[in-house]
Amino acid sequence: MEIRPILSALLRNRTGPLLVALQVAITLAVLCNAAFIVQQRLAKMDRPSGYDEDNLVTLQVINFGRLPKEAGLAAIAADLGALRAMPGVVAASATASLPMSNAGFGWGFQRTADANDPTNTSASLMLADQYGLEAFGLQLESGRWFTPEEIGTAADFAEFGATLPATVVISRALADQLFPDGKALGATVYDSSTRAPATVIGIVERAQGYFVNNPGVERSAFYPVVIASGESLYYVIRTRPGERAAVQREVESALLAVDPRRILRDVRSFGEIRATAYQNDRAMTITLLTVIALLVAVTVLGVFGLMSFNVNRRRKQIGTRRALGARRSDVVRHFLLEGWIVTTAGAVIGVALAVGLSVWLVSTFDLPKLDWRYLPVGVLALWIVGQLAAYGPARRAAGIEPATATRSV
Amino acid sequence: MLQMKGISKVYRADVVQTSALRDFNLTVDEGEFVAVTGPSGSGKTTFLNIAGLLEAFDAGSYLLDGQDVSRLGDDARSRIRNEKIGFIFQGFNLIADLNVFDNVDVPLRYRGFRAAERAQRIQRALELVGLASRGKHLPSQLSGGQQQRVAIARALAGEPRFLLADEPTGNLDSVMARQVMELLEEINGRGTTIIMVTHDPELARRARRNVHMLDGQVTDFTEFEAAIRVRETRAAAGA
Ligand SMILES: Nc1ncnc2c1ncn2[C@@H]1O[C@H](COP(=O)(O)OP(=O)(O)OP(=O)(O)O)[C@@H](O)[C@H]1O
Ligand SMILES: [Mg+2]
Repeated sequence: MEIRPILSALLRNRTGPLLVALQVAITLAVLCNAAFIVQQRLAKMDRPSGYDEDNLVTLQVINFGRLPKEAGLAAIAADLGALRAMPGVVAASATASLPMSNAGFGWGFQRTADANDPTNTSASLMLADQYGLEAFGLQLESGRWFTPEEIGTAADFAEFGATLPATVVISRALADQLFPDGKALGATVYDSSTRAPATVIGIVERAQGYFVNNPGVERSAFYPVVIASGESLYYVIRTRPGERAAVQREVESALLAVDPRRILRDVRSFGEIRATAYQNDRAMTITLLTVIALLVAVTVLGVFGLMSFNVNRRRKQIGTRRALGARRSDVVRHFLLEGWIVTTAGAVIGVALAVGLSVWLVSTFDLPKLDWRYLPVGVLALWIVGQLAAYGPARRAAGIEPATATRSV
Repeated sequence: MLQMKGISKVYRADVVQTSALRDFNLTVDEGEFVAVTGPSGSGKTTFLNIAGLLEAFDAGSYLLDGQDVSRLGDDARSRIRNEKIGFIFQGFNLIADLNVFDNVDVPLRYRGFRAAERAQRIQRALELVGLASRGKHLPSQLSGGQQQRVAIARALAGEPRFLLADEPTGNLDSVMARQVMELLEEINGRGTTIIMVTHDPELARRARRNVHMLDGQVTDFTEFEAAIRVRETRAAAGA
């Protein structure tokens, strides 16, 4: 290998190569950390929610004024009946809030009625009727869902708070948190503010809560309650596969046919809810990917520019090398090797920079520590990119005539 | 050793065509020291480039060491340049960023020699040109004459059969030029064939054979030989 003479020649004109190496280093540092963050955001966005997202339509009902309890319950029953009668609808359910919507009750549960029970655990609290399991498409892992008799009715949230139900269905994540010993089903849990007890009658495999950015998003609980007043009323409609769009189109007229004197808002698929929930993550991902692309592009230009400059500056030298017996392939190899040396020098600095940047990100933004495997992959990527960038100038160098040795001044 | 017959070389620019060599014939035997002279633009460099396989030619035949080199591919030509031919340039053509040792090393690396053999050859070549102690110097730290001697060491390190020199003393003052010439004579004395282009009639006269070029051809007589011929003609006429 002819690394040593190439290296010593580079060191004699080190400003350009050094700047490009620094560029490579910065690119590598940002590339590794950004790619790591992107990968984590993608993994986060890719988490299953526990709901049959592909086949769900949701909407909010806003009544003009507050309905009396009996009238409210009757209106909800009429609406659900109409929804269920729509072609393609499998189930329909009333609830007071939607998961992953960034709005809803944060609730505390604990294992005892003690005031300062250390098992106090936060969860997303959702209200559901007897159709909830089927309408959301939840997977019941053990126990059972609510019977119609269990569904409590509250005129409004104030009444609900005063008369909490005696049964609850919780997600697997909440069960694991409250009962690490695994005996959640049938156990009694307590609302941590009123200390009202409730029996865990069922556990669903997964039901993400309201706040996808909250690390406790997997912990959730369902109370069997319908709020009659309509002050916060959502319908969740599950369709047969492939019929979601049609139902979504028809749902408003079906409901307005029951009662036109109200407003139907946010008729949305669950995909739209998910898109909104992860808007920031997607924006961050796109931003970081753009930054990566730009940095890599600038690095390619840097290596390309340096190599082009070197080739042009050394036309006579290249001609002389050819005259002294260099084959075209030797010249190509010479410049690829030169590009590789610059890239590698940058990569060495870049690995240190990447680790430093990661340490800073961890301490400042509480991000997870960079997975070290991103470093070799990043170095490999920059090697490839660097060689591709050097290849054009190297080919051009190989095309320089041997006679340049005697012809040019 | 070198046999050119009917070589022609035309440079084609956009509109102009220049016939740099026209029906050029020359044979050089093993061990000769040939000085090529001629006015500027007469085709000396063109001849040297073709002889050294730096450039292709348009017509004619060229046997180098008995081998027809006109149809060789680029890699084969590179190999012959590397192994059989040593080049010495008017501008020395040392690589400014490499020290003396690494400069002499350049053709040896292309030859594929191992490090130990290269080091030995470099040492020997630098000793021959009297610069053995300057291996670590950069070209810019040497005088012109020393630089040209480094270039000669580089040309010799691969022990070529042929040394081609295009005005090797053109950029040197007369003292340094004489030193370089003495070196070339010594090298020729060891059996290396040398073809040297020069503008300097004094140096040309020191070569064992002179070739004079005019308009892309070898003139029949060098000025020296022509002068003798004139005298002989006079003598014949007088007889
Ligand atoms: N690359 C080229 N393109 C076009 N014409 C060229 C090229 N190289 C040489 N020539 C022309 O070919 C002719 C011979 O040039 P050459 O360099 O061989 O002359 P020379 O005898 O070496 O001259 P000098 O003593 O000035 O070095 C000249 O007319 C020159 O202009
Ligand atoms: Mg010339």
